[in-house]
Amino acid sequence: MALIEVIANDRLGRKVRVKCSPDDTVGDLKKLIAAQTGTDWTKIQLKKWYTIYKDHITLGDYEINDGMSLEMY
Amino acid sequence: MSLEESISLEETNKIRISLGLKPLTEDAAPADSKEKEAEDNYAKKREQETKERDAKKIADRIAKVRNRRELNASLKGSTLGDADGDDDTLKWIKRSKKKEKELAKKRQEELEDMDKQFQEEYTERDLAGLKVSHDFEELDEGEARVLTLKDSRVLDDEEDELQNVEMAEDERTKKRNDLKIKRRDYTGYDDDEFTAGNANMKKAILAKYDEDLGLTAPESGFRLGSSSSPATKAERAEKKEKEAAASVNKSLLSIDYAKNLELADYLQEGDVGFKKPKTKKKRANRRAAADAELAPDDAMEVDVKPIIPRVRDLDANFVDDDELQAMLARSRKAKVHKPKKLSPEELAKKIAAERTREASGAPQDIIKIEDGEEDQETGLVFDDTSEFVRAVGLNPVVKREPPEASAVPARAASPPRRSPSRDVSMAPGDQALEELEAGEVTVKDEEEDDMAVLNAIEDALKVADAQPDDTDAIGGTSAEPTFNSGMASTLNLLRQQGILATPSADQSDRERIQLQRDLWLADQRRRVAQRELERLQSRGGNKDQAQREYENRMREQQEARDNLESFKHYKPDVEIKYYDEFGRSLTPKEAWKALSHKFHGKGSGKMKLEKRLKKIAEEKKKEAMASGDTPLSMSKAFQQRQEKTGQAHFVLSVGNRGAVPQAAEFFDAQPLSKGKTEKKKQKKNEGKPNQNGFMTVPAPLQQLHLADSPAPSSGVQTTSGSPAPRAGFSRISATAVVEPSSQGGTPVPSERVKVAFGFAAKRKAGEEAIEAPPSKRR
Repeated sequence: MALIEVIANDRLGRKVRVKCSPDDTVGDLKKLIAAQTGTDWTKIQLKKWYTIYKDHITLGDYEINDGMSLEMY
Repeated sequence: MSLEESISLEETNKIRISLGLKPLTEDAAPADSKEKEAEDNYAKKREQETKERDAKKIADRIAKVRNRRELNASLKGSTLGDADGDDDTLKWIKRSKKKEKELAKKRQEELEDMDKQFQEEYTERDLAGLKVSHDFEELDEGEARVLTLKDSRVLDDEEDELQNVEMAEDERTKKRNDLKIKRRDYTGYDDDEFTAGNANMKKAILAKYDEDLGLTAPESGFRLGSSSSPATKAERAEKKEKEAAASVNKSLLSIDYAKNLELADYLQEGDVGFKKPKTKKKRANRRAAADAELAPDDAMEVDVKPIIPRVRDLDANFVDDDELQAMLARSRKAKVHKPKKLSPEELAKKIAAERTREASGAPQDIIKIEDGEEDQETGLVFDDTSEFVRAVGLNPVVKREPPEASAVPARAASPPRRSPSRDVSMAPGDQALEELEAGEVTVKDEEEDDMAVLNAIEDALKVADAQPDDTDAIGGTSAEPTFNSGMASTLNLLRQQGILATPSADQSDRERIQLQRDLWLADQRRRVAQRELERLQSRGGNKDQAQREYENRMREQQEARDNLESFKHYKPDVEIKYYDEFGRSLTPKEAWKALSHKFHGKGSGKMKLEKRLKKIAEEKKKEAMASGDTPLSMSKAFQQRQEKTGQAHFVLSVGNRGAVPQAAEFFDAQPLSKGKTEKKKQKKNEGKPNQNGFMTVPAPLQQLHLADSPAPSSGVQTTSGSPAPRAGFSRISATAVVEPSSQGGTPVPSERVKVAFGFAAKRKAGEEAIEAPPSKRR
């Protein structure tokens, strides 16, 4: 529905901006990131400090809004 | 930011489609939908609330109005303000009465209604079946007891029980008191479970600690309204017993045994008593029976009674019949000892009598003695009492019984016996021996000893008579005491010669006391023997119990009196000797110490013990020393050394200048070491064969000279003050002493060479000494 842009930062030099909607799950987000970075989406772990984002929860529920950056490990 | 990779929306949508996600729209979707929702909901809520409030208000208003109307309705009717003056007081009174009645009726009805609710009919029927936890018997008739519900556990779902509080309390206190008084401690008897009745009881361990938790249902108790009458306590107990017996398969017997009646000690009226035996009849019987029994000599059986018409008391008790027993005993004795027996006392008296008659005639005595011996051989018992009595012999003369004439056969069986005719020629030594034997109170072989003693006494007396003859025969030797007559003369001789010390006054005193004591002892023994004799004699008399007892008592009293008297002259010679663990006899002080240690349980400390041991060692040394020697046995040590070395002198110590090296063979014990006296002698030539052993031969030589020079001149040298003597090594200072001894005694021939050297050395030493006197003054 809504278009939000989420930034995934790897802290090693890889920074990706992904367009997605708040209804997408984290897993979908990971797929989009994988498509852009070229890694395997199952190997991506999105975190914020020690909070690991689980795959089956939507971004809206995690309250990941437009312009937020997540750590990619 | 520039480093961020980003793709466009279309590409994103493409990827999304490939993934299966919805493509994104461009516009930012209304992100506030949720908030809106929230607002909507909130608005709705508020509307609802307002609506409710309004509704409530309306409802209240309606209810208020209705209330008022109802209230107003009750206000209908005439008020007090309405004029009611038409009624006069009478009517009013009637009206008020009526009203009251109605009111009262109403109240009554109400009360009855209430009562009815609570009070439904509650009779015995309701209580039927309830359990009461007291004994039926305990609830006496005629008393009204209030029973209350007994406390019970909630969860156990037990039946309700009724009990009277006071009675329950009584029971409890009684039980408590019982427990306090009755101690269920372990008594050693069997536990309850072993009694026959409680065969099924559980095995109780430490039953005295079991708490009575009251879990067991009260056996005693009954149900209200129940028709069956409960068993009484006794019936119940019996039933229990029967069950128990049945379980153990026993049948209960009654133990009422007619014959097991208690007996009283005293004769009751109906009992059969004892009959006093009649003595007269028995006497006649006895005489006849005795004769009859003696006649059949061969029949040893006592049971065989002669066929004499004798009145026999069949009820008599054979064991208690003293006369009968005496009779039997006598008959028995008669069979065994046919000739007349001589008791030891009588024999002693006989011998005493014989002795007094010696002068009358020797052959007579011989025969009598032999007869006496013969009597002895027929089985008299001799013990040390009689033998000693005979030896001491202060018995009064008693009439001697006529001896039985019997042949004088050769007594080969008695070796120590020597016929008196040979006594004169007997060697004095034998006599002495015999007298010694007589003096001692030991009984080796009774018969032999007795005879020896007898013989000895006879012999001594005989020899005493014969002695003057002997001396005359030998010729003029009466002045000189000889050995030929016994111990006493020997001792006298020795005393005269001075070899034996005359006894001191103390010793003679003691001897006297000892003699008295012996006399007293002999007296005692004689008395004891006499008593025995009397007792034996009194047995078998024809007295009854009472008389016998009386006599016994009298005798005992007499004995006691005699004892008392005899102890007046009692002079015991008591000497207590103490010995320690080494076997030495202790002085009073030492004995006291030893006893004190034993009593208190602790001995002396280390120092004291060492002191004591040292003292003992010194004593031993003193004892061991020879009479002509010093306590340290110097001469003996010197002799030893001389033997070993072959040299007749000692080399004394050097002092601070070092030890004198000596070969080991010279030594008995420790070698010389530093710290000796200055004096030293040495031989040079003799040292040559031994020079290997010597290290400082040249050095001390000078000293030797020094030492030697004054020695021959003075002839006396003083030892320096080295006080501690070495074991096996003594210091002999003076050469003068050494020289003669060396000349005198050089016992070892094997060392002849050395000896020669020694002499030579001596002379050389002397010469050298003369040579170098001035060196001393350095």
